[in-house]
Amino acid sequence: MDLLLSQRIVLEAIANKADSIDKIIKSTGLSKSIVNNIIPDFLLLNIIQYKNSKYTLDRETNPKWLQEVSKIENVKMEIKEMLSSSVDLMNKGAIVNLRKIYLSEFEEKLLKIELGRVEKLIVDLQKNSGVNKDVKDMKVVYWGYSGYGDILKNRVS
Amino acid sequence: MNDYEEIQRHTLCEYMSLFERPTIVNLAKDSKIQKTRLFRLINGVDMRLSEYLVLKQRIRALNMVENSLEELAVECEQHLNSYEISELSKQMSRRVRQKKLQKITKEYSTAA
Repeated sequence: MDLLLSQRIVLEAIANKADSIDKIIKSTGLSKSIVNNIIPDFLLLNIIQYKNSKYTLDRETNPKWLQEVSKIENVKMEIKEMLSSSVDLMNKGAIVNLRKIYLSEFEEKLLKIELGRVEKLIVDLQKNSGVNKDVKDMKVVYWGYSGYGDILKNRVS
Repeated sequence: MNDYEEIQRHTLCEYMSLFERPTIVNLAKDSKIQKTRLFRLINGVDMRLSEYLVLKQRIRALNMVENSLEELAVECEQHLNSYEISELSKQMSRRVRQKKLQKITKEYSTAA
């Protein structure tokens, strides 16, 4: 099961303690009708449950959905959509930097160390990020590098 | 009627609808399929793959939809490997799912 970005954000909102339709709408920024279309599907698939007038993730009835939505091919598809959307937003405020450079072995090591620092910072920030904040206000941060030849090979082969 | 027969019937209907006078003579002249064979096809004889492809190609040509999505899809099927086709179809399917969600939403909002 692959999730659309709009479905994913609804799940994230519910996981982040948005337990009513109004809270989900506020947290995701989606319209009420879109949320009203997504919620019944999730209830039918036992991805979420509605108990005591609250929506929560259903990790007991059919916990396989967690593995399904986390499958690498499904996650890859979502990442592709997010990156593609970020590129579309390049002139509208999104910061996407990309450079092609030659790196010596030493320079590559330096880069890895710097990226490691970025990763550590992100992990620390994630630990401190508060619950009950709106998921739509999160930032999507991407970092990393690849071999130009490898990218090309993947496209051409 | 099974799916296979339904596709054959639909293809023939679509092709014939593109002619002002869809006589067997006209259809045979255009498609280069023999008149007797066309007669049999119209009467429900199983279509060969080559005939199906000829008719689809003529439908595209008569519709003057060069470089259309359908044509591009045919090219993709011919040139891309199964993994690439699967990737493309996944992307298309996700776009359609999102659109459908919005469409349903629109209708819902209007009704409400």
